[in-house]
Amino acid sequence: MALAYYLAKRALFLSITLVIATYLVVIISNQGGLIDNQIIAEIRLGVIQELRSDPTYLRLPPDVQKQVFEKKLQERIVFRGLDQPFVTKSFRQTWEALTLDLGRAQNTYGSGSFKLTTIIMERLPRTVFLFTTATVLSAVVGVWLGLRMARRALSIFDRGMTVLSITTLVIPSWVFGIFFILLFAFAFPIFPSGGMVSVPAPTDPWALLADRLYHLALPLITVTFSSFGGWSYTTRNLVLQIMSEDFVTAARSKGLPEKKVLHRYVLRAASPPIITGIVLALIGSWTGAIITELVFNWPGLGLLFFEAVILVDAPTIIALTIIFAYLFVVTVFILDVVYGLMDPRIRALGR
Amino acid sequence: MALLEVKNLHLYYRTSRGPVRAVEDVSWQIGEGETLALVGESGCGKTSTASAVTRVLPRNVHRYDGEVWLDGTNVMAYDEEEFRKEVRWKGISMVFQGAMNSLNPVMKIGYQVYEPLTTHLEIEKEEALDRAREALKSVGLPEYTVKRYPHELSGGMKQRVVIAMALIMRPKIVILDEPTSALDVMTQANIINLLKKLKQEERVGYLFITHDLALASELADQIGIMYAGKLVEIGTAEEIYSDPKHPYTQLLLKSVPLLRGTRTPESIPGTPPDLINPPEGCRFRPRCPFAFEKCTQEPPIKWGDRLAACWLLEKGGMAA
Amino acid sequence: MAAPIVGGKAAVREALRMKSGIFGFGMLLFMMLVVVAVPIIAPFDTVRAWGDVSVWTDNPRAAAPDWIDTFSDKKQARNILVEWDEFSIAQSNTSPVFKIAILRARFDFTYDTFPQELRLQMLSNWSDRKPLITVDWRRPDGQSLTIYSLSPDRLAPQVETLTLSSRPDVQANVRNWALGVGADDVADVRPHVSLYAVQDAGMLEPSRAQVLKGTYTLTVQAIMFNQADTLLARFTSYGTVFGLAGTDHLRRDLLIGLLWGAPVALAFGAAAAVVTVMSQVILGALGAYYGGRFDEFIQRSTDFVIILPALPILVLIGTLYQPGILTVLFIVILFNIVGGTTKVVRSIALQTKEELYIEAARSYGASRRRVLFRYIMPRTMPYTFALLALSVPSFIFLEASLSFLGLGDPVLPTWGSIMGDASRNGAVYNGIWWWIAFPAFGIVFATVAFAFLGYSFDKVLNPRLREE
Repeated sequence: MALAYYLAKRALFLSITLVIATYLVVIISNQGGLIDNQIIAEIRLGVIQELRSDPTYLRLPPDVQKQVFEKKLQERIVFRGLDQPFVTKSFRQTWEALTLDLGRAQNTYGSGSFKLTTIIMERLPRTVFLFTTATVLSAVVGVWLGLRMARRALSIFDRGMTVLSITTLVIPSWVFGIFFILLFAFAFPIFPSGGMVSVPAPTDPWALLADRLYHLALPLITVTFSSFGGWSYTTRNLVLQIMSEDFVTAARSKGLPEKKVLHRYVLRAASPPIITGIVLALIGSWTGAIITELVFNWPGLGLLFFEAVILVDAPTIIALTIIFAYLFVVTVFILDVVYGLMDPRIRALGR
Repeated sequence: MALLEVKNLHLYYRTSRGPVRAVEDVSWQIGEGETLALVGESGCGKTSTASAVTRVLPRNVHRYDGEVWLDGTNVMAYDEEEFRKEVRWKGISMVFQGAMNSLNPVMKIGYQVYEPLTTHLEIEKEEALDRAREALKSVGLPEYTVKRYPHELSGGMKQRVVIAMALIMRPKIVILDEPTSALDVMTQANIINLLKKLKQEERVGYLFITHDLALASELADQIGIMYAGKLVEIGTAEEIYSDPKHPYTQLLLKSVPLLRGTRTPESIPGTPPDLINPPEGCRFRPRCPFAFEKCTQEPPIKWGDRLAACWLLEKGGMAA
Repeated sequence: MAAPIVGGKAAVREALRMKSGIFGFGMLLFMMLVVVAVPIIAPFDTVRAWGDVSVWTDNPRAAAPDWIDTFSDKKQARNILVEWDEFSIAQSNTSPVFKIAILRARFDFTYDTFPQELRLQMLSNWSDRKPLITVDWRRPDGQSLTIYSLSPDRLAPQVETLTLSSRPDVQANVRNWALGVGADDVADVRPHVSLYAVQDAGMLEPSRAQVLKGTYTLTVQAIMFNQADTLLARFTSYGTVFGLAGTDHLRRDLLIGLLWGAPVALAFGAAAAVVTVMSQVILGALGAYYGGRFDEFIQRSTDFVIILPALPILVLIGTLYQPGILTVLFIVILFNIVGGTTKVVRSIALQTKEELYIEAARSYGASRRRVLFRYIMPRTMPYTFALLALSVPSFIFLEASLSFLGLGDPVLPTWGSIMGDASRNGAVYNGIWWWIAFPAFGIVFATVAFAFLGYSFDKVLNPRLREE
């Protein structure tokens, strides 16, 4: 089937991209081997200090001391896997990253564990929850608005909303976040200024839920507000463009009721770009999450990334970058599947 | 009685520089089983006339009035909903210019062909699909076409689909807007033969819009020559070809190259006028080799039993 | 229907016919004026001083903009700086063994709020014995007290700086005096409040103290043991407001940071946008035109780059390598040599290629390159312009995002880095809102200007969207 063939090609391409991207990240994070040298230096120092405080060692003659020292040093280096040349090590790290064998972080980041998989799994749902909800919400609101704007093209409503859309869509969500926090958490204290729950958290499950929602409100409003403009503007333009296409005029002449023309013809034709947009927006929102989560003190992957950056916790940074890459690739692939199902012309191109 | 009669039809578009007078006071009629060809240069208003008849208008309409009588009823008086239900496709259907673009690229052919049926009639999908298959057969396409998508068909095949689609509800009038200009000569000939066959079998009236005078002669019983939004001459094919009265018609005939013969085609000097500020009186006056002072007044179209809007006919002794 | 707009000049002309285009260009023009005015108001060496804390010590810390008191009836305290040469000096040479120098500074304090801090600087020169110095404070109500007695530690030309408000001996002196005139005791004494406070029970408590307005006199009296010894003083009563934009935690005048943020943001955004858009457009068109393996290669690279998670990688590079702003610019451009635009331009070019006038041009012998540049490229112009206008803000906020995280240029003040400093130093929670709001507003203004421009070019591109 043409669709399966097309998807297989895409899957292959995406996998190769993922591998290359991962390798790139590994190379960058290891500064081409410089970090290794640092670690070896640290080990050396550690061994020296250890041996210095060992009385049996101090009694040995100098040449034997040297032997013992070298042996211990070598042991440690092998244990940390640093005896191999950087190239082989980079392949191993790439493989580990791709198989999500993420290792240990240099901090627990409040999760109680050093295992990266645990830390990430604790934080991942929070980010996904906030940003996916916000993206879907803004897409729904935005597309609905965009349709209304196209229907009443050039009216005052349309022009006003267009201006609002384009001014909000270019401004990053964290800038809005800052303004909204200043306004709604301080100037007019309606919402909490950050965090996911109050400290201490309420014990009653309903109260806990309410508290969670209360904390979710401002970040959700912020992200939605900063994103809806892109949807409404592009939907409006797209719909206007499609409405003047010949096949829409033809549909109207066939005597189809306006509603049917709108749904079956205009929306159907508008869907592929809109859905593409949703997927790309989801991707974009997860990476933009870094600063937004920072501003709202939302304990998700983005904030984790930032905290890892501050601590220069290389394993965590690598792990998170890989996670982002995976998220990208999977989402793009889902997009390909959806697109392929929706637009028969794509399957033809796959041949 | 005429199947479709159009009287004093006006259609102006609104633009930032002023209203474009695309269709100016046009009147004609088509009888049952008859074909009227509207011929003229690009921008002369023939497609706008078709839009005016089917009321498929863009947003920027400045003026739209006149009478459109379909089978004895003035459909101009219908509101949007009535017009949609009674006239569109049921009464008048249309074959668009560039069929490739009038088919929805993401829907199967079969669905698009039977869609008018399920919209206007109470009919089961199965039956509608059957009828679609038959319609496609009648235009010479194999039955499996119903399962195909538009991009899988050639230009000629798409054109046939569009024709089948136009006929499926057995309308009274089919408007064909340049149905063959995007096709090669061979396919063109095939389509024209198909149209001729259908004309005989179905007794449907055609409004055939084209810039190609020679093509018009193949199908048309009557030919209407349009220039700058106005109808300048109308008559039977015989009359137009052998005895054109309007200077524009005469020049048009002279501009057609002949396969055999030694006459070189002559082009008409000048360009069509600006429809925002058309010339006063006869719109052809600036390019007409026979223009004289009276031409600054609007000439009447009827002179005895010939219909041609030119003051020269007064001189010829044929007073109104 | 309207013909497609072709060519750059036509695109701009069309864009200017619309309200949004005029608005956008207007805002852009305003920013250009700011950019031009900036080197005049704040020359570059002031900016280089951004990293040098010592330059800014005369300013108050985290002060609000000074026009803020127009919104309330309370007049905020301004900075009062009595310079070295503004102290009146009287010397007495009564004895060959020692001399007494009396330095006096008189100033008016007519504000409704207390100053933020008090600072005394001294330049003293001595040989053999150090001078003995007492600092007296005389208030408009006639009360006078000795704030402080000291012997300087530093020899000129080194300046000795005493932050009076935080010195325990100053605090003790003030407390004792205040208690003696009937004030209620407190745990923490704030000299900069109490010295200026109306003499009443609440004068030691900032919440109860009221400002005593009038003329104050600061006297520095020194007993010096050598005729050649000298003493100079400089006094600062730090205000609670400063400048048009306030100051940050390092006492830097935010106006300078904000002003310089404009050209940096614009330059970065424009440079990145122009280079990447040009690159993507040219590659897209070339790919479409030449086709074959070259096109395939460009397509694949484009897909690859789109999927790459750019921001995380940039953050990674930023943390590990601390690049300067030019390096960041270079890397950002590298990441965007191909991208979404390449695909779009490629499809526009493919479409145009099919059109008959291209065949006509080829048939009369036009070379491939000529066809490409004279026919295909102009068709992509409106799209390119719209894209340029919309890319600039996205690069501006990419840079701002990186700087916000502290990963941008460590020396230059950019809007993002100011916001980052502000956020990390609790601007939001401590009510120092101007520190974070002004640069945010700068970013908003710049991005909105380009958004309007982009919108107007969009309308040029799609005639159906115009106001007709």
